Amino acid sequence: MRMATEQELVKRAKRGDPDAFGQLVTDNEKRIYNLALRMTGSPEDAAELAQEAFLNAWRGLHRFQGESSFATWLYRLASNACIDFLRREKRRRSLSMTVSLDDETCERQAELPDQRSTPEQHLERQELRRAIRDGLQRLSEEHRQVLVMREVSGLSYAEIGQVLELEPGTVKSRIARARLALRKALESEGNLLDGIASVRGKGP
Amino acid sequence: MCDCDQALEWISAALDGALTPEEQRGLDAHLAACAECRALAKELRQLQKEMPGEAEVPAGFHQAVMDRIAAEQVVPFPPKKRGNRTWRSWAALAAVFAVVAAGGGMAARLGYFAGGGSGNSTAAAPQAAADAVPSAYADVSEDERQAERQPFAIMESAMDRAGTESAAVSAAPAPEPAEAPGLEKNSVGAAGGDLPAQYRQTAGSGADGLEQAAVDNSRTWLAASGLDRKNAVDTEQAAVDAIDETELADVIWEDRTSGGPDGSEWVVTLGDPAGHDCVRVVCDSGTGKVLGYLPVE
Repeated sequence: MRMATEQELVKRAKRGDPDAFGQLVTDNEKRIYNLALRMTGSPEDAAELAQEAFLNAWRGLHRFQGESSFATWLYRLASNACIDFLRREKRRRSLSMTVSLDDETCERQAELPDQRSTPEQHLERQELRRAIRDGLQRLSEEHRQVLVMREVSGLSYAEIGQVLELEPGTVKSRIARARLALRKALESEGNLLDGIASVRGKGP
Repeated sequence: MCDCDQALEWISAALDGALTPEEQRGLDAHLAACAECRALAKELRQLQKEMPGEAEVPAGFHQAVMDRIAAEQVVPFPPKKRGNRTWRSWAALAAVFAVVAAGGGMAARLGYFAGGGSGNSTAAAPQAAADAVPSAYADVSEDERQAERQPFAIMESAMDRAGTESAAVSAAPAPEPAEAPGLEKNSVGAAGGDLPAQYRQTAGSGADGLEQAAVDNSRTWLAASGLDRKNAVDTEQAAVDAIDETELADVIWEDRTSGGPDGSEWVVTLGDPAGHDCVRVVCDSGTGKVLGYLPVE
């Protein structure tokens, strides 16, 4: 049912119907924006990249022949655009090591209050979340990409494999290495391990 | 792979719910024996739990996307750069289109110039153009009646170098094929008062009917396109132009079943490119079918 709807929308959009494409934008914008947000760490860059991804999808709609779902195809476009962007940025910033990580004021993570946690522990969790967001930015693009796809976008190994054109087995081990890399990135932040330890410490 | 490397993959896969029962047993056995991997498993579980969720899309995002898409399709013609380039390429073809008809039951004729060979002249004064073009012209009688049923005006492009003059449209009686040996000059001066002289140039027999079909198909395409500004396009104004290489690279293809782009396509410009809304549709020169369109920035 969902697929049929998407197919029909794509068909109409290919005929130049902007309303149909608008529905496809609605269906996909959150995922695409968040992919770009976690890849770049910057809401401004993410909004621009996500917009461009949709624009390029519209321009290149004729190239989409239904070999995957439209959502997957679009996601791949956006993912490639993010990687291109990051490489350009890296070159641009290679002389300046200052990287300002945007303070994400619009962060809307579901923060269910943990009744058992003390205010201190709550703060530590906040701190840990911030550290994870920052830590993601220090990972290699390859590692960040698979982690964002898996953890933020919630894609399965098979879906990630489709987007990146990798075997599921490769996806699996790359995700494992990415998780290890993230942990190392947090360790290098010093007191973060304490944060993890104390949060963990309250658990069973 | 040593045990701990294998355990890392299992730990990670377990977080994703992707372990087979057998792997789960292998992992359990390893964790029971390896404190380091137990700690790792806990930390990775904690990291997963605190991963960022999905943020809301910023306000205005959707509209911004839709605005940019709308801007792709039908927009006021120039930005200067684009307009100049287009006009220059037309002028470079020394393309002066024919012609014709709007009032008084005259046949509408659509001019088309298929070849290069006019050098880089950008001062496409009609006479210069006339001198520059080869003298192959179509027999047009077949199409006269058809054209008569749907008269339309066509722009000519005797533009000056700056490309700022608007296209002139004129009316003239369609010449009889028999009167058209060699270069054919419509006596616009007589029929159309002060309008510049225009020439009809066609590439070969039957081309006119195809051009008419391409224009008609383009109109149908536009009407069905759902472009929100399609009504702003004055489809009475139409011009057919051979596509150039730069344009070819910009085409948004909708239909590649006809064998793909080969550079022989036509660009049908509907509307007034000199300042009002227009749309540029790409058609197959062999069938007149709509293949795609050109974004106008």
